[in-house]
Amino acid sequence: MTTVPLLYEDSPPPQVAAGERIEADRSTRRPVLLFFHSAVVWLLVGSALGLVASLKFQFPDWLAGQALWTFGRVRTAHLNAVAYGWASMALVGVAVWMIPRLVRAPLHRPAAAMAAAVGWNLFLVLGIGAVLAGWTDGLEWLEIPFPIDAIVAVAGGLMAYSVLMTVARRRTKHFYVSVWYALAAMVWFPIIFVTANLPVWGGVGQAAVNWWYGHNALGLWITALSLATAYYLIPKVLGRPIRSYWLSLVGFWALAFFYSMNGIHHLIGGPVPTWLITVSITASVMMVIPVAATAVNFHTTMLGRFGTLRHSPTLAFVVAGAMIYTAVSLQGSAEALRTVNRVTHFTHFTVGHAHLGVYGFASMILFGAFYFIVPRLVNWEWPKPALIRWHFWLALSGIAVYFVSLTLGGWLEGARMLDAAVPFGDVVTATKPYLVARSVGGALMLAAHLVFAYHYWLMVRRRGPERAEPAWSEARAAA
Amino acid sequence: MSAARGAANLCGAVSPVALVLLAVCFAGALLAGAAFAWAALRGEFTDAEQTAFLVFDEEDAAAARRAVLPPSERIR
Repeated sequence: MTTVPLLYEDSPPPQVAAGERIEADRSTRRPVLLFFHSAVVWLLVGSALGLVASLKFQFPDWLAGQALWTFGRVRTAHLNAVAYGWASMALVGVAVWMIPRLVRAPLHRPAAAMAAAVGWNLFLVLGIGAVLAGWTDGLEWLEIPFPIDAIVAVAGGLMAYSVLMTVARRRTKHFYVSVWYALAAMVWFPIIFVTANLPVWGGVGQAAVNWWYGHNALGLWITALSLATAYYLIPKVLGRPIRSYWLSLVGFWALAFFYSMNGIHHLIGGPVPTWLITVSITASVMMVIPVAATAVNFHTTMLGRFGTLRHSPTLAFVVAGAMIYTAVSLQGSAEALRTVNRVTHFTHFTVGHAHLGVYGFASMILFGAFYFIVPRLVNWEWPKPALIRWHFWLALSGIAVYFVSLTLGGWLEGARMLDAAVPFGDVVTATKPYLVARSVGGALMLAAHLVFAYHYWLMVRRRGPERAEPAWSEARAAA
Repeated sequence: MSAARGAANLCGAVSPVALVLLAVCFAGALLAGAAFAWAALRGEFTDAEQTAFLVFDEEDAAAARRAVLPPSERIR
């Protein structure tokens, strides 16, 4: 497959390298499994809540008798369950597994990482419970009440402590680009989370902080950790280094410098100083630089190896996610332009875009990461390969139906809302077919998650036939 | 426009408490700049292509010698 030397010039001898990797894997096994188990549960909870919220567009009287099940609460619970439960816990799990391998050092204080996972779950249970009970801060992405936020701040601190100390004790001279992304995310997220949750904001300033946080949670947390994962997995599975390592660094630093002001474009047309909006639009368009750098790198690394996608479940998911990253990022830059935003703002178009980012990009990469990492955690192979194919196609078709329908429906909705001659009731009625398609897409994604969760459960229970060649067993590596 | 007038306009346009956000952004920019300088001084940008091989370990070397995908990637 490849003839390039696969070990870094500063790598230790193979026996030492094997020992270091085994030591790193042992140290991360329990915390990563705890993060992964939790993430899978939150994926099921979150996507079920999402489907309930979507179905309410077709059956507005369904579950309307109790405040708990009203759209505003269910949809908010869905967002928090998938963003902070599924995506965040899975991404942290991947980072905790990946970083010790990349710095060739065991995870520092695995118990702190375990405690972080427990605290994170406590935050989610209390926070989503509060949202469903009607107690929220009323700000998108920041709905979970302030006192409960303190729990995740402590949990995140424990997590960051464990990871940062691991890096401090590294045995490598340089940082691989995934380490850059993951470390930056571990520093950025606490800053934006704590700042946005300070109980000092009000009025227009609060709206600005709200969207500064909301977009940065995507770009500086979910995107950063997802790209770290893709930069690790694509070369690993292909057995071929990333096409241009230099370009990957350009992508990282450009994201670091341009992303943080993107969020204010959510307030175009609002009572916010024009200069603030213009800076945000400029930063959003500047994001083309890191996106192009990353896209070119991923795609040229894959050139000549696309046939591998038929055999590798990891690559199938990760490459799909990487391609969607390019698409959703360029769409986001375009959406920030005033002329486009004038049509798409306050429509279903934005919902389609957000799902393409968190699901089509981040979640697809995460699914790929699970298929790579879990065999190495439980020393077992996925028992039913057919279920992986079902998972892939259900997930991909689900997000495709969801995104296309909301993009078309949202654009038509926005164009009609700008036409003063069209009554608002007619605008709403015209969106109905697209909302049905949204529910169909959501149902497909939920089906994909049920398949995935069932397979994951079989895997961690080590069910199914033992394969002739188990995943990287410690004994095999040592031999 | 004088500096005082500029500051007054800024405070008039943005809630004074939102200036905390600007301070946080400024601190973040300093942090990013310091990280960038630190990386440059440590030689992270020199001989960068070699660092691309850090992702590999002895597992991958063995798989490459046999010219096969890792086992968990051959379960089509």
